[in-house]
Amino acid sequence: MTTFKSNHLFVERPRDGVWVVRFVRPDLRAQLDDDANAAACPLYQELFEHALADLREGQTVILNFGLVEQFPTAFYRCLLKIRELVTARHARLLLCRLSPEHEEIFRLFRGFDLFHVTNTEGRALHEATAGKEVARRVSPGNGRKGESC
Amino acid sequence: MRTARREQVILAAAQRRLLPQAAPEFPGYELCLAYRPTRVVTGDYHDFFPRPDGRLAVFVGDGSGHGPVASMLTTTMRTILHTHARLHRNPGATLSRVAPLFYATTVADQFMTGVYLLLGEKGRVSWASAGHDPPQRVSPRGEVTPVDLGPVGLPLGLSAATGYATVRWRLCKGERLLLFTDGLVETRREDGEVFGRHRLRAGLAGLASVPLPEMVRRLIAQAEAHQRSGQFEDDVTIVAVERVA
Repeated sequence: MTTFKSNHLFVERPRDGVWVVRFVRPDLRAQLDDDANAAACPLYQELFEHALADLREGQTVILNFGLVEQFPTAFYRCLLKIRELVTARHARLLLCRLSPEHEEIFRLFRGFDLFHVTNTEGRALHEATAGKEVARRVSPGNGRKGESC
Repeated sequence: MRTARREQVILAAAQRRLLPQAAPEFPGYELCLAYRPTRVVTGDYHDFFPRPDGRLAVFVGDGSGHGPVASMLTTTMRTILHTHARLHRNPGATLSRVAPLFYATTVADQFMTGVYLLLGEKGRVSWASAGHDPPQRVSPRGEVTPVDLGPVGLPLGLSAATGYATVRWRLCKGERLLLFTDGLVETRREDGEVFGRHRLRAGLAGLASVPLPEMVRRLIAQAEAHQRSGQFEDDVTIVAVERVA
């Protein structure tokens, strides 16, 4: 079931068409340090290689933030980039286990309008397999960054 | 590398010339500016816009990222705000008009948060926020109004067509507003604990009776003391406002 493990990510594919990515370090800032292009940062590159590259229509990526403590704006930029790709592939992106500190940032950035967030990974897995209703319920985005996750 | 460093220094000097070095004087209010860039060039942007109707607009923004790339966002925002005079209406309408222009001139994963504050006669103020901390409001007795994120809209650059609400307040004499960038509240101790908005609010409450510039100086000192290194990780900008008449 485990498809990839590094110092930063733990990627599983618990069922066909569903990737679960757990960030395994509390502070990933060193992996996010590319001001010019979020897609060029090491974390995005690693994510792309092991969870996004083969993503197809109708499939789901779940990002688990349970172990993440530091959430700089660079992480949010990385999420926007992931969302852009996932939307372009007509796939789904679910986030789970945000801490109260993460939620504060999401409220400020209106991240809950852009991303579908669940409390637990189990809930995210359930929603990943519960049909396409979730995708329809996610708030609309915009032309450049896609319509939904 | 020496050439690159020199070019950064030149860029920083050019950027400093674009940013106001002090808050303007404005009847009925006292304003105070503090600006602490951590890198050579900065992603924080502050500006003041005297309006033909006698009011004064204040913008405090924070470009995503750090350094030269973030500084490009500040320049883009400054260009938009300075070259489109008709953008400047009530705060919500202003940000709603800025949004498509900023969106069209930046790339997909870059954004800027910002708060636009308009100061008027007799304590009438209004503001709008794009993914940015709303103004902290402090009474002369040190009561800090709870922050409502309901009116806060998307950061600028994430959507071409998004609206922003205008919040209207009437300040009493002695009431204060604090606009700030997140470098102030996200400064961290070695164990990772941030200074946080709760400490900022406590600081504001405890400093309500000291003069405005002293309040700003002590708030920065409190955040620096929290981090202990005395060096912020991120740019810090504060614009403090007090109704004085």
